[in-house]
Amino acid sequence: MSETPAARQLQFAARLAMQGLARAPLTTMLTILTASLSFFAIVTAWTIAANLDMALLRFNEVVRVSVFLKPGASDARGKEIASQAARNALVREARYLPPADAAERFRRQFPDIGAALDQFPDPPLLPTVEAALKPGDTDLARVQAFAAGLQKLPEVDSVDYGKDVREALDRLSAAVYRIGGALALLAAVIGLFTVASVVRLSYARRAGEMHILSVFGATPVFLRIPYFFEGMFIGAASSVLALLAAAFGSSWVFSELAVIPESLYSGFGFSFLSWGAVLTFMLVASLVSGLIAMISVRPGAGSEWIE
Amino acid sequence: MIEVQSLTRAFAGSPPVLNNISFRVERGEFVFLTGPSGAGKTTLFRILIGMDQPNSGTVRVADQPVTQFTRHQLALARRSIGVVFQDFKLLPNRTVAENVSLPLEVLGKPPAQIRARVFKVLTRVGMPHRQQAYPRQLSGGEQQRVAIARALVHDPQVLLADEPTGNLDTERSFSILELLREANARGATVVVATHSAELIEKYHSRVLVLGDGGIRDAGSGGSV
Ligand SMILES: Nc1ncnc2c1ncn2[C@@H]1O[C@H](COP(=O)(O)OP(=O)(O)O)[C@@H](O)[C@H]1O
Ligand SMILES: [Mg+2]
Repeated sequence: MSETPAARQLQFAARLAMQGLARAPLTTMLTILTASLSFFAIVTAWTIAANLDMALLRFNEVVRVSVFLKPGASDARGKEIASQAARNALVREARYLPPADAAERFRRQFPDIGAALDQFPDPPLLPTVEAALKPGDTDLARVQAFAAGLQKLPEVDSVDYGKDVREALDRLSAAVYRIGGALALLAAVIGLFTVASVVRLSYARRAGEMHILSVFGATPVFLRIPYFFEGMFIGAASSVLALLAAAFGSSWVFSELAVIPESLYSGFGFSFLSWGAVLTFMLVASLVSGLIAMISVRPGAGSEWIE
Repeated sequence: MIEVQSLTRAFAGSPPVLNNISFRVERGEFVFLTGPSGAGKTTLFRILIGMDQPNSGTVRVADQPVTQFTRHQLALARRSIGVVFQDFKLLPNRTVAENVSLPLEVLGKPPAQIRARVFKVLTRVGMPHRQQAYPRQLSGGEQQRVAIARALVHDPQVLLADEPTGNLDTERSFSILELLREANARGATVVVATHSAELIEKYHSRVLVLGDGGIRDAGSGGSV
């Protein structure tokens, strides 16, 4: 690979990039710091959004849609409603629970207060159809439509689909996506603008060098490559810094959040971004920084032939 | 080797610097380009290497129609041209060896070959012992030797020197001229812009005179 002229030209460009960065170490470090602050904002917004998404998914997985039938509803009708519900695209599995089973299940789920049921002469619980949703389908409007459809059936008393929590999570996630997205976009613009201006300065500092290279036959594209590398280096270093800070920051926050009783947040496991997301972020941040840097320098035709 | 036809270059608000000029320089020639300050010598050189575009006319250098080239093609064409400037234009934060190796780095030559050729060409200009020096540690004459080494290291077919002795005293000027003549003897076509009558008189080479927008071939012998 290093045997071809093109590969050696790339190595030369990389050396030029490193020299450019090393020639103004303080500027380089400040740029990396500034860019990493804006990348940190992006990563933080992303982490919050990802955790909210996870909470919604987890909620969908854990909380079933319960269709309470009116007291007189027959078992046959209950089974029909269950199979009708099961045909909905959102539903992973639906089944009919006769009142006795519902009571049995109640006792299992809440052993401490379950005994109280024995005081009732008749089965105190309503016949119920329980639908488990597919975990990936969290679209609130579709869940609502599904619940509303069931609610219209004459045998149905009420449908519990975790309305309040679902709606709250949905509002939160919409807000996070909107506000976080806008902030992240702003942060990205600031970060990339910083990279672009610093690289342009770096270019101006070595205009003479670029001019000489162009006199001796460096192509316009070649003259941009060192700046692509400079931008990539700044992007990579800043994103590593931002990701480290965000990872440590969020692990601290999550450990503090652990004081919340698990029953209050139904055991949603808070977590930092996945390795895939981390690597994607680094790659995209580096590449975009490199490209921005590369297009923000303008290798002139060498207008300054100073005598 | 250099073919200029009906070349005109005018800057806004003044009469054309080069007004419909034509001339040829054959392969292997050594030519002086002279004329008073402001006559357009530098402008002509800039056009020859495609760093300035004429208003009209065509230019061929080393068989390449530089006036019709894209910037990418121009860059490739410049690889067969060497350029020497009056103010040397060495990069201050690079050593002599690094400065001289730039044209070869641009070509993507292997490091070992670069080292060997840099040493050889620095030996030719009498500077093999100063490879690790920085330009500020050298005298003007030494800096110009390094600049000539840089212009020759990639074996260009054409060497353009724009007032290469302008900042040097007479004795140093002659020794720089010797280097350029030696490059010519080794096969390079050389054009030296100068307004030094002394140089022109000493070397009986062909002289092209720029002035009032025109060009005049004064033949050889230094009757300017
Ligand atoms: N970029 C430019 N813009 C305007 N005028 C220019 C420019 N470059 C050169 N000139 C003018 O062209 C004329 C020729 O300049 P130059 O080629 O440098 O002459 P020489 O090298 O013979 O001294 C001068 O009058 C100069 O002012
Ligand atoms: Mg000049």
